[in-house]
Amino acid sequence: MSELRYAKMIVKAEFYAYMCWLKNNKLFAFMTLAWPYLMAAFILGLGTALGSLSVFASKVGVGDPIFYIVLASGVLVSSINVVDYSAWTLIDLKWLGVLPYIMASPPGLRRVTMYGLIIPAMISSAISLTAVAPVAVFTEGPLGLVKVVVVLGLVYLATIPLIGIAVIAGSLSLIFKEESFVSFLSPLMLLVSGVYYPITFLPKILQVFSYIVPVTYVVEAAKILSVYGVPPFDKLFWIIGVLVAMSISYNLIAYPGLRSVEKNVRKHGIST
Amino acid sequence: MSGSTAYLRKALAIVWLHLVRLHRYKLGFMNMILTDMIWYILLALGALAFSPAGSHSVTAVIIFWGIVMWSIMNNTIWLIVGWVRFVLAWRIFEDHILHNTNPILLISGRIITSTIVTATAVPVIAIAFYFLTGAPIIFVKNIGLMALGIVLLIIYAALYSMMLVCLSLRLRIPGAMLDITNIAMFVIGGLGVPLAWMAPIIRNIAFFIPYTYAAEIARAGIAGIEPYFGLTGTLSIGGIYMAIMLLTTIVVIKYSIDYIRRHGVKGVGMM
Repeated sequence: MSELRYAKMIVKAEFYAYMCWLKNNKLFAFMTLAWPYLMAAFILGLGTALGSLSVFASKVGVGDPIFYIVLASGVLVSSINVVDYSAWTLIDLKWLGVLPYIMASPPGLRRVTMYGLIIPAMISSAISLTAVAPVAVFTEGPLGLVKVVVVLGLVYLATIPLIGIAVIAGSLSLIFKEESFVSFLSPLMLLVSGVYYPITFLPKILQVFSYIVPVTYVVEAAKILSVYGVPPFDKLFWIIGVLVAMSISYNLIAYPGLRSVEKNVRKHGIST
Repeated sequence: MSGSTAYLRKALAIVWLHLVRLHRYKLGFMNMILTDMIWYILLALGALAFSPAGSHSVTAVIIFWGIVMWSIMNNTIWLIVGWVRFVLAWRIFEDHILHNTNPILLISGRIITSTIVTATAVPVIAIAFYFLTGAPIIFVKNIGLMALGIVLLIIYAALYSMMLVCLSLRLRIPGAMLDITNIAMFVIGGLGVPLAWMAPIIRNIAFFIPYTYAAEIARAGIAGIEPYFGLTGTLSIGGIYMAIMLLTTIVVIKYSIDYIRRHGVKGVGMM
Protein backbone atom coordinates (compact mmCIF):
# COMPACT_ATOMS: atom_id res chain seq x y z
CA MET A 1 0.00 0.00 0.00
CA SER A 2 1.31 3.45 -0.82
CA GLU A 3 2.40 5.88 1.90
CA LEU A 4 -0.32 8.35 0.91
CA ARG A 5 -3.00 5.70 1.21
CA TYR A 6 -1.80 4.75 4.69
CA ALA A 7 -1.79 8.42 5.68
CA LYS A 8 -5.36 8.90 4.37
CA MET A 9 -6.65 5.81 6.16
CA ILE A 10 -5.06 6.70 9.50
CA VAL A 11 -6.14 10.33 9.36
CA LYS A 12 -9.71 9.29 8.49
CA ALA A 13 -9.85 6.74 11.31
CA GLU A 14 -8.35 9.15 13.84
CA PHE A 15 -10.76 11.90 12.79
CA TYR A 16 -13.71 9.56 13.32
CA ALA A 17 -12.36 8.39 16.70
CA TYR A 18 -11.68 11.93 17.90
CA MET A 19 -15.12 13.20 16.84
CA CYS A 20 -16.72 10.28 18.67
CA TRP A 21 -14.71 11.12 21.79
CA LEU A 22 -15.80 14.74 21.61
CA LYS A 23 -19.41 13.67 21.02
CA ASN A 24 -19.27 11.43 24.07
CA ASN A 25 -17.55 14.08 26.15
CA LYS A 26 -19.42 17.28 25.37
CA LEU A 27 -18.54 18.82 28.71
CA PHE A 28 -14.89 17.98 28.05
CA ALA A 29 -15.12 19.87 24.74
CA PHE A 30 -16.75 22.79 26.52
CA MET A 31 -13.95 22.88 29.11
CA THR A 32 -11.40 23.03 26.27
CA LEU A 33 -13.19 26.18 25.09
CA ALA A 34 -13.04 27.74 28.55
CA TRP A 35 -9.33 27.15 29.29
CA PRO A 36 -7.81 30.01 27.20
CA TYR A 37 -10.09 32.47 28.99
CA LEU A 38 -9.24 31.06 32.40
CA MET A 39 -5.53 31.34 31.66
CA ALA A 40 -5.93 34.89 30.30
CA ALA A 41 -8.03 35.88 33.33
CA PHE A 42 -5.38 34.48 35.67
CA ILE A 43 -2.47 36.36 34.15
CA LEU A 44 -4.52 39.55 33.77
CA GLY A 45 -5.72 39.33 37.39
CA LEU A 46 -2.24 38.58 38.68
CA GLY A 47 -0.58 41.26 36.58
CA THR A 48 -3.05 44.10 37.11
CA ALA A 49 -3.03 43.44 40.86
CA LEU A 50 0.70 44.20 40.86
CA GLY A 51 1.14 46.56 37.93
CA SER A 52 -0.60 47.89 34.86
CA LEU A 53 -1.51 46.91 31.31
CA SER A 54 0.40 49.87 29.88
CA VAL A 55 3.64 48.67 31.50
CA PHE A 56 2.96 45.19 30.08
CA ALA A 57 2.34 46.63 26.60
CA SER A 58 5.59 48.59 26.59
CA LYS A 59 7.71 45.78 28.08
CA VAL A 60 6.37 43.01 25.84
CA GLY A 61 6.08 45.26 22.79
CA VAL A 62 2.42 44.71 21.95
CA GLY A 63 -0.24 47.14 20.76
CA ASP A 64 -3.40 45.96 22.48
CA PRO A 65 -2.41 44.04 25.64
CA ILE A 66 -5.83 42.47 26.25
CA PHE A 67 -6.10 41.23 22.66
CA TYR A 68 -2.55 39.89 22.87
CA ILE A 69 -2.99 38.14 26.25
CA VAL A 70 -6.19 36.42 25.10
CA LEU A 71 -4.63 35.40 21.79
CA ALA A 72 -1.42 34.25 23.51
CA SER A 73 -3.49 32.22 25.98
CA GLY A 74 -5.14 30.51 22.99
CA VAL A 75 -1.67 29.71 21.60
CA LEU A 76 -0.53 28.53 25.05
CA VAL A 77 -3.47 26.15 25.51
CA SER A 78 -3.11 24.87 21.90
CA SER A 79 0.59 24.14 22.43
CA ILE A 80 -0.04 22.34 25.71
CA ASN A 81 -2.78 20.28 24.04
CA VAL A 82 -0.60 19.34 21.05
CA VAL A 83 2.51 18.40 23.04
CA ASP A 84 0.71 16.68 25.90
CA TYR A 85 -1.68 14.77 23.66
CA SER A 86 1.13 13.62 21.37
CA ALA A 87 3.41 12.56 24.21
CA TRP A 88 0.64 10.98 26.27
CA THR A 89 -0.93 9.00 23.42
CA LEU A 90 1.93 6.49 23.44
CA ILE A 91 1.80 6.25 27.22
CA ASP A 92 -1.98 5.73 27.09
CA LEU A 93 -1.58 3.00 24.46
CA LYS A 94 1.06 1.39 26.68
CA TRP A 95 -1.21 1.53 29.74
CA LEU A 96 -4.17 0.13 27.81
CA GLY A 97 -2.04 -2.75 26.50
CA VAL A 98 -2.86 -2.17 22.81
CA LEU A 99 0.63 -1.26 21.59
CA PRO A 100 1.48 -4.81 20.44
CA TYR A 101 -1.64 -4.85 18.22
CA ILE A 102 -0.74 -1.48 16.69
CA MET A 103 2.81 -2.65 16.04
CA ALA A 104 1.53 -5.82 14.39
CA SER A 105 -0.93 -3.88 12.19
CA PRO A 106 0.07 -3.15 8.53
CA PRO A 107 0.72 0.61 9.03
CA GLY A 108 2.77 -0.01 12.21
CA LEU A 109 3.46 2.24 15.16
CA ARG A 110 5.37 4.95 13.29
CA ARG A 111 2.64 5.75 10.80
CA VAL A 112 -0.18 5.46 13.35
CA THR A 113 1.50 7.95 15.69
CA MET A 114 2.95 10.40 13.16
CA TYR A 115 -0.12 10.66 10.91
CA GLY A 116 -2.72 9.90 13.55
CA LEU A 117 -1.69 12.66 15.93
CA ILE A 118 -2.15 15.43 13.38
CA ILE A 119 -5.95 15.35 13.53
CA PRO A 120 -6.44 15.65 17.32
CA ALA A 121 -3.76 18.36 17.35
CA MET A 122 -5.55 20.31 14.62
CA ILE A 123 -9.00 19.97 16.17
CA SER A 124 -7.89 20.89 19.69
CA SER A 125 -5.95 23.91 18.38
CA ALA A 126 -8.98 24.99 16.36
CA ILE A 127 -11.18 24.72 19.45
CA SER A 128 -8.77 26.75 21.63
CA LEU A 129 -8.31 29.50 19.06
CA THR A 130 -11.96 29.60 17.98
CA ALA A 131 -12.76 30.16 21.64
CA VAL A 132 -10.77 33.40 21.68
CA ALA A 133 -12.29 34.69 18.43
CA PRO A 134 -15.18 36.59 20.11
CA VAL A 135 -12.73 38.65 22.19
CA ALA A 136 -10.59 39.25 19.09
CA VAL A 137 -13.64 40.55 17.20
CA PHE A 138 -14.72 42.65 20.18
CA THR A 139 -11.32 44.32 20.61
CA GLU A 140 -10.18 44.58 16.96
CA GLY A 141 -13.35 44.22 14.86
CA PRO A 142 -13.46 41.87 11.83
CA LEU A 143 -9.69 42.29 11.45
CA GLY A 144 -9.31 40.56 14.80
CA LEU A 145 -10.99 37.47 13.34
CA VAL A 146 -8.56 37.51 10.40
CA LYS A 147 -5.66 37.71 12.88
CA VAL A 148 -6.99 34.71 14.81
CA VAL A 149 -7.20 32.74 11.55
CA VAL A 150 -3.59 33.71 10.70
CA VAL A 151 -2.41 32.59 14.16
CA LEU A 152 -4.38 29.33 13.80
CA GLY A 153 -2.60 28.72 10.48
CA LEU A 154 0.76 29.31 12.15
CA VAL A 155 -0.21 27.04 15.06
CA TYR A 156 -1.01 24.32 12.49
CA LEU A 157 2.37 24.84 10.91
CA ALA A 158 4.06 24.70 14.33
CA THR A 159 2.10 21.55 15.15
CA ILE A 160 4.11 19.47 12.68
CA PRO A 161 7.51 19.98 14.38
CA LEU A 162 5.85 19.92 17.82
CA ILE A 163 4.42 16.46 17.12
CA GLY A 164 7.87 15.30 16.05
CA ILE A 165 9.40 16.48 19.34
CA ALA A 166 6.55 15.14 21.48
CA VAL A 167 6.44 11.73 19.80
CA ILE A 168 10.15 11.19 20.34
CA ALA A 169 9.85 12.27 23.96
CA GLY A 170 6.76 10.10 24.49
CA SER A 171 8.36 7.09 22.82
CA LEU A 172 11.20 7.14 25.37
CA SER A 173 8.65 5.99 27.94
CA LEU A 174 8.40 2.72 25.96
CA ILE A 175 12.10 2.06 26.51
CA PHE A 176 12.63 3.34 30.04
CA LYS A 177 10.91 1.64 32.94
CA GLU A 178 9.05 4.81 33.77
CA GLU A 179 5.44 5.90 33.64
CA SER A 180 5.86 9.42 32.34
CA PHE A 181 8.70 11.88 32.53
CA VAL A 182 7.99 14.21 29.66
CA SER A 183 5.27 16.49 31.01
CA PHE A 184 7.87 19.20 31.66
CA LEU A 185 8.17 19.61 27.88
CA SER A 186 5.13 21.80 27.27
CA PRO A 187 5.76 24.27 30.14
CA LEU A 188 9.46 24.39 29.16
CA MET A 189 8.57 25.34 25.58
CA LEU A 190 6.15 27.97 26.85
CA LEU A 191 8.73 29.31 29.30
CA VAL A 192 11.32 29.90 26.59
CA SER A 193 8.79 31.18 24.04
CA GLY A 194 8.09 34.26 26.19
CA VAL A 195 4.36 33.92 25.92
CA TYR A 196 3.60 36.45 28.70
CA TYR A 197 6.89 38.39 28.88
CA PRO A 198 9.79 39.44 26.64
CA ILE A 199 12.39 36.74 26.04
CA THR A 200 15.02 39.14 27.39
CA PHE A 201 13.71 38.34 30.92
CA LEU A 202 15.29 34.90 30.54
CA PRO A 203 18.93 33.90 31.11
CA LYS A 204 21.04 33.96 27.93
CA ILE A 205 21.14 30.17 27.59
CA LEU A 206 17.33 29.93 27.57
CA GLN A 207 17.15 32.80 25.08
CA VAL A 208 19.34 30.79 22.70
CA PHE A 209 17.25 27.66 23.35
CA SER A 210 14.08 29.60 22.47
CA TYR A 211 15.22 29.88 18.83
CA ILE A 212 14.77 26.13 18.29
CA VAL A 213 11.29 26.02 19.84
CA PRO A 214 8.45 26.36 17.28
CA VAL A 215 6.07 28.03 19.75
CA THR A 216 8.46 31.02 20.02
CA TYR A 217 7.68 31.94 16.40
CA VAL A 218 3.90 31.63 16.83
CA VAL A 219 4.13 33.87 19.92
CA GLU A 220 6.27 36.32 17.93
CA ALA A 221 3.63 36.38 15.18
CA ALA A 222 0.91 37.03 17.78
CA LYS A 223 2.96 39.99 19.08
CA ILE A 224 3.39 41.38 15.55
CA LEU A 225 -0.34 40.98 14.84
CA SER A 226 -1.28 42.82 18.02
CA VAL A 227 0.83 45.84 17.03
CA TYR A 228 -0.12 46.34 13.41
CA GLY A 229 -3.50 46.80 11.73
CA VAL A 230 -2.07 45.26 8.59
CA PRO A 231 0.98 43.28 9.64
CA PRO A 232 4.31 43.47 7.78
CA PHE A 233 4.09 40.41 5.53
CA ASP A 234 7.86 40.04 5.20
CA LYS A 235 8.10 39.28 8.94
CA LEU A 236 5.19 36.81 8.76
CA PHE A 237 6.69 35.08 5.71
CA TRP A 238 9.99 34.81 7.53
CA ILE A 239 8.20 33.10 10.47
CA ILE A 240 6.41 30.76 8.03
CA GLY A 241 9.77 29.90 6.45
CA VAL A 242 11.33 29.05 9.83
CA LEU A 243 8.35 26.87 10.80
CA VAL A 244 8.46 25.01 7.46
CA ALA A 245 12.20 24.39 7.93
CA MET A 246 11.54 23.11 11.47
CA SER A 247 8.72 20.86 10.24
CA ILE A 248 11.06 19.19 7.77
CA SER A 249 14.16 18.98 9.94
CA TYR A 250 12.49 17.87 13.19
CA ASN A 251 10.49 15.15 11.47
CA LEU A 252 13.56 13.99 9.57
CA ILE A 253 14.96 13.25 13.02
CA ALA A 254 11.72 12.09 14.63
CA TYR A 255 10.69 9.50 12.04
CA PRO A 256 13.93 7.46 12.11
CA GLY A 257 14.07 8.01 15.88
CA LEU A 258 10.66 6.46 16.27
CA ARG A 259 11.74 3.60 13.99
CA SER A 260 14.67 2.79 16.25
CA VAL A 261 12.41 2.93 19.31
CA GLU A 262 10.00 0.55 17.55
CA LYS A 263 12.89 -1.81 16.75
CA ASN A 264 14.06 -1.70 20.33
CA VAL A 265 10.55 -2.42 21.63
CA ARG A 266 10.13 -5.33 19.19
CA LYS A 267 13.40 -6.78 20.43
CA HIS A 268 13.15 -6.18 24.19
CA GLY A 269 9.41 -5.67 24.76
CA ILE A 270 7.69 -2.65 26.27
CA SER A 271 9.13 -1.51 29.58
CA THR A 272 6.54 -1.11 32.32
CA MET B 1 -9.01 -8.32 62.80
CA SER B 2 -10.99 -5.34 64.10
CA GLY B 3 -12.35 -2.75 61.67
CA SER B 4 -9.99 0.00 62.77
CA THR B 5 -6.92 -2.26 62.58
CA ALA B 6 -7.89 -3.41 59.09
CA TYR B 7 -8.40 0.19 58.03
CA LEU B 8 -5.02 1.19 59.44
CA ARG B 9 -3.31 -1.68 57.62
CA LYS B 10 -4.95 -0.60 54.34
CA ALA B 11 -3.89 3.00 54.90
CA LEU B 12 -0.31 1.89 55.63
CA ALA B 13 -0.31 -0.30 52.51
CA ILE B 14 -1.40 2.69 50.44
CA VAL B 15 1.33 4.90 51.94
CA TRP B 16 3.89 2.13 51.24
CA LEU B 17 2.62 1.80 47.65
CA HIS B 18 3.02 5.49 46.91
CA LEU B 19 6.48 5.64 48.50
CA VAL B 20 7.59 2.63 46.47
CA ARG B 21 6.21 4.23 43.28
CA LEU B 22 8.11 7.41 44.06
CA HIS B 23 11.31 5.42 44.47
CA ARG B 24 10.61 3.32 41.40
CA TYR B 25 9.73 6.22 39.08
CA LYS B 26 12.68 8.49 39.77
CA LEU B 27 12.57 10.19 36.36
CA GLY B 28 8.86 10.85 36.74
CA PHE B 29 9.52 12.35 40.17
CA MET B 30 12.24 14.63 38.77
CA ASN B 31 9.89 15.54 35.95
CA MET B 32 7.20 16.63 38.40
CA ILE B 33 9.64 18.83 40.32
CA LEU B 34 10.97 20.35 37.10
CA THR B 35 7.45 20.97 35.77
CA ASP B 36 6.56 22.70 39.03
CA MET B 37 9.59 24.91 38.94
CA ILE B 38 8.99 25.91 35.32
CA TRP B 39 5.40 26.94 36.04
CA TYR B 40 6.51 29.00 39.08
CA ILE B 41 9.03 30.89 36.96
CA LEU B 42 6.69 31.29 33.98
CA LEU B 43 3.90 32.83 36.06
CA ALA B 44 6.26 34.95 38.14
CA LEU B 45 7.92 36.38 35.02
CA GLY B 46 4.47 36.99 33.51
CA ALA B 47 3.49 39.00 36.58
CA LEU B 48 6.78 40.92 36.60
CA ALA B 49 6.05 42.03 33.02
CA PHE B 50 3.20 44.14 34.47
CA SER B 51 5.18 45.80 37.23
CA PRO B 52 7.06 49.05 36.60
CA ALA B 53 10.86 48.97 36.55
CA GLY B 54 12.40 49.46 39.97
CA SER B 55 9.50 47.90 41.89
CA HIS B 56 10.60 44.33 41.22
CA SER B 57 12.05 43.73 44.68
CA VAL B 58 8.83 44.82 46.44
CA THR B 59 6.41 43.01 44.18
CA ALA B 60 8.56 39.92 43.84
CA VAL B 61 7.91 38.90 47.48
CA ILE B 62 4.14 39.24 47.05
CA ILE B 63 4.18 37.54 43.66
CA PHE B 64 6.45 34.72 44.69
CA TRP B 65 4.64 33.49 47.81
CA GLY B 66 1.23 34.03 46.21
CA ILE B 67 2.25 31.88 43.26
CA VAL B 68 3.84 29.28 45.56
CA MET B 69 0.64 28.92 47.59
CA TRP B 70 -1.50 28.82 44.46
CA SER B 71 0.79 26.23 42.88
CA ILE B 72 0.75 24.04 46.02
CA MET B 73 -3.04 24.07 45.89
CA ASN B 74 -3.11 23.49 42.14
CA ASN B 75 -0.48 20.71 42.19
CA THR B 76 -2.18 18.81 44.96
CA ILE B 77 -5.43 18.89 43.01
CA TRP B 78 -3.90 17.94 39.64
CA LEU B 79 -1.68 15.18 40.98
CA ILE B 80 -4.58 13.55 42.81
CA VAL B 81 -7.33 13.94 40.21
CA GLY B 82 -4.97 13.34 37.28
CA TRP B 83 -4.19 9.89 38.64
CA VAL B 84 -7.75 8.67 37.98
CA ARG B 85 -6.77 8.10 34.34
CA PHE B 86 -3.90 5.82 35.40
CA VAL B 87 -6.02 3.88 37.91
CA LEU B 88 -8.73 3.27 35.31
CA ALA B 89 -6.29 2.44 32.49
CA TRP B 90 -4.57 -0.16 34.66
CA ARG B 91 -7.95 -1.53 35.70
CA ILE B 92 -7.07 -1.47 39.40
CA PHE B 93 -10.15 0.49 40.42
CA GLU B 94 -12.44 -2.55 40.48
CA ASP B 95 -9.68 -4.68 42.04
CA HIS B 96 -9.64 -2.45 45.09
CA ILE B 97 -13.42 -2.57 45.43
CA LEU B 98 -13.28 -6.39 45.22
CA HIS B 99 -10.65 -6.42 47.95
CA ASN B 100 -12.86 -4.25 50.12
CA THR B 101 -10.54 -1.24 49.86
CA ASN B 102 -11.89 2.13 48.89
CA PRO B 103 -10.19 3.11 45.57
CA ILE B 104 -10.63 6.79 46.42
CA LEU B 105 -8.37 6.17 49.44
CA LEU B 106 -5.81 4.69 47.06
CA ILE B 107 -6.03 7.77 44.80
CA SER B 108 -5.86 10.15 47.76
CA GLY B 109 -2.44 8.63 48.59
CA ARG B 110 -1.10 10.85 45.81
CA ILE B 111 -1.00 13.57 48.44
CA ILE B 112 2.29 11.96 49.51
CA THR B 113 3.73 12.49 46.03
CA SER B 114 2.46 16.05 45.75
CA THR B 115 3.76 17.02 49.20
CA ILE B 116 7.23 15.63 48.51
CA VAL B 117 7.32 17.36 45.11
CA THR B 118 6.30 20.68 46.69
CA ALA B 119 8.74 20.32 49.58
CA THR B 120 11.57 19.77 47.09
CA ALA B 121 10.60 22.34 44.46
CA VAL B 122 9.74 25.35 46.66
CA PRO B 123 13.11 25.80 48.46
CA VAL B 124 15.04 25.34 45.20
CA ILE B 125 12.94 27.83 43.30
CA ALA B 126 12.92 30.27 46.27
CA ILE B 127 16.71 30.35 46.27
CA ALA B 128 16.83 30.66 42.45
CA PHE B 129 14.29 33.50 42.49
CA TYR B 130 16.20 35.22 45.32
CA PHE B 131 19.34 35.28 43.21
CA LEU B 132 17.36 36.30 40.09
CA THR B 133 15.50 39.28 41.62
CA GLY B 134 17.40 40.00 44.84
CA ALA B 135 14.05 40.18 46.67
CA PRO B 136 14.18 38.95 50.31
CA ILE B 137 11.78 36.08 49.71
CA ILE B 138 13.70 33.47 51.67
CA PHE B 139 13.74 35.37 54.99
CA VAL B 140 10.44 34.32 56.63
CA LYS B 141 9.30 35.74 59.98
CA ASN B 142 7.90 32.57 61.57
CA ILE B 143 8.58 29.27 59.84
CA GLY B 144 6.19 27.33 62.11
CA LEU B 145 3.19 29.50 61.19
CA MET B 146 4.14 29.37 57.53
CA ALA B 147 4.33 25.57 57.66
CA LEU B 148 0.97 25.38 59.48
CA GLY B 149 -0.71 27.54 56.83
CA ILE B 150 0.76 25.46 54.01
CA VAL B 151 -0.26 22.15 55.66
CA LEU B 152 -3.80 23.47 56.06
CA LEU B 153 -3.76 24.53 52.39
CA ILE B 154 -2.68 21.02 51.32
CA ILE B 155 -5.43 19.42 53.45
CA TYR B 156 -8.14 21.65 51.91
CA ALA B 157 -6.82 20.97 48.39
CA ALA B 158 -6.68 17.20 49.03
CA LEU B 159 -10.25 17.08 50.34
CA TYR B 160 -11.48 19.14 47.39
CA SER B 161 -9.54 16.84 45.03
CA MET B 162 -11.26 13.76 46.40
CA MET B 163 -14.61 15.38 45.71
CA LEU B 164 -13.44 16.15 42.15
CA VAL B 165 -12.31 12.52 41.72
CA CYS B 166 -15.82 11.36 42.67
CA LEU B 167 -17.37 13.91 40.33
CA SER B 168 -15.11 12.90 37.44
CA LEU B 169 -16.09 9.25 37.89
CA ARG B 170 -19.75 10.24 37.81
CA LEU B 171 -19.52 12.71 34.87
CA ARG B 172 -16.66 10.95 33.01
CA ILE B 173 -14.74 14.19 32.62
CA PRO B 174 -11.12 14.38 33.83
CA GLY B 175 -11.16 15.98 37.27
CA ALA B 176 -8.43 18.41 36.28
CA MET B 177 -10.70 19.76 33.54
CA LEU B 178 -13.47 20.20 36.10
CA ASP B 179 -11.24 22.30 38.29
CA ILE B 180 -12.17 25.59 36.67
CA THR B 181 -12.23 27.40 40.00
CA ASN B 182 -8.52 26.97 40.70
CA ILE B 183 -7.43 29.99 38.66
CA ALA B 184 -9.92 32.28 40.39
CA MET B 185 -8.60 31.12 43.76
CA PHE B 186 -5.54 33.33 43.39
CA VAL B 187 -7.68 36.38 44.04
CA ILE B 188 -10.99 35.26 45.56
CA GLY B 189 -9.35 32.43 47.49
CA GLY B 190 -7.06 34.91 49.19
CA LEU B 191 -3.92 33.12 48.01
CA GLY B 192 -2.38 36.09 46.23
CA VAL B 193 -3.83 39.00 48.17
CA PRO B 194 -4.34 39.39 51.96
CA LEU B 195 -7.98 39.80 53.09
CA ALA B 196 -7.27 43.28 54.44
CA TRP B 197 -6.07 44.50 51.03
CA MET B 198 -9.05 43.17 49.07
CA ALA B 199 -11.90 45.22 47.68
CA PRO B 200 -14.94 44.72 49.99
CA ILE B 201 -16.94 42.83 47.34
CA ILE B 202 -14.11 40.33 46.73
CA ARG B 203 -13.46 40.05 50.45
CA ASN B 204 -17.10 39.04 51.01
CA ILE B 205 -16.61 36.16 48.55
CA ALA B 206 -13.20 35.23 50.02
CA PHE B 207 -14.76 34.75 53.47
CA PHE B 208 -16.50 31.65 52.10
CA ILE B 209 -13.39 30.07 50.57
CA PRO B 210 -11.38 27.88 52.99
CA TYR B 211 -8.03 28.58 51.27
CA THR B 212 -8.29 32.22 52.45
CA TYR B 213 -7.69 31.21 56.08
CA ALA B 214 -4.79 28.90 55.28
CA ALA B 215 -3.18 31.68 53.23
CA GLU B 216 -3.74 34.26 55.99
CA ILE B 217 -1.93 32.00 58.50
CA ALA B 218 0.90 31.28 56.04
CA ARG B 219 1.30 35.00 55.24
CA ALA B 220 1.49 35.81 58.97
CA GLY B 221 4.44 33.44 59.10
CA ILE B 222 6.06 34.62 55.86
CA ALA B 223 5.77 38.40 56.10
CA GLY B 224 4.31 39.01 59.56
CA ILE B 225 1.05 40.34 58.09
CA GLU B 226 -1.61 40.17 60.83
CA PRO B 227 -4.57 38.00 59.70
CA TYR B 228 -7.86 39.88 59.16
CA PHE B 229 -9.60 38.02 62.01
CA GLY B 230 -6.50 37.81 64.20
CA LEU B 231 -4.48 34.61 64.49
CA THR B 232 -6.80 32.79 66.92
CA GLY B 233 -9.92 33.74 64.98
CA THR B 234 -8.38 32.65 61.67
CA LEU B 235 -7.22 29.35 63.14
CA SER B 236 -10.71 28.68 64.54
CA ILE B 237 -12.50 29.47 61.27
CA GLY B 238 -9.93 27.40 59.37
CA GLY B 239 -10.58 24.46 61.70
CA ILE B 240 -14.35 24.71 61.26
CA TYR B 241 -13.94 24.75 57.47
CA MET B 242 -11.70 21.70 57.65
CA ALA B 243 -14.32 19.76 59.65
CA ILE B 244 -17.08 20.75 57.20
CA MET B 245 -15.00 19.77 54.18
CA LEU B 246 -13.99 16.46 55.76
CA LEU B 247 -17.60 15.50 56.46
CA THR B 248 -18.73 16.57 52.98
CA THR B 249 -15.92 14.58 51.36
CA ILE B 250 -16.83 11.43 53.31
CA VAL B 251 -20.47 11.73 52.22
CA VAL B 252 -19.52 12.37 48.56
CA ILE B 253 -17.11 9.40 48.50
CA LYS B 254 -19.75 7.11 49.99
CA TYR B 255 -22.32 8.25 47.42
CA SER B 256 -19.93 7.82 44.50
CA ILE B 257 -18.71 4.36 45.53
CA ASP B 258 -22.34 3.24 45.98
CA TYR B 259 -23.09 4.58 42.51
CA ILE B 260 -20.09 2.76 40.98
CA ARG B 261 -21.02 -0.51 42.71
CA ARG B 262 -24.46 -0.29 41.07
CA HIS B 263 -23.51 1.08 37.63
CA GLY B 264 -19.88 0.00 37.17
CA VAL B 265 -16.78 2.06 36.38
CA LYS B 266 -16.70 3.97 33.13
CA GLY B 267 -13.76 5.57 31.36
CA VAL B 268 -12.95 9.17 32.10
CA GLY B 269 -12.12 11.72 29.42
CA MET B 270 -10.55 10.40 26.25
CA MET B 271 -10.89 6.73 27.10
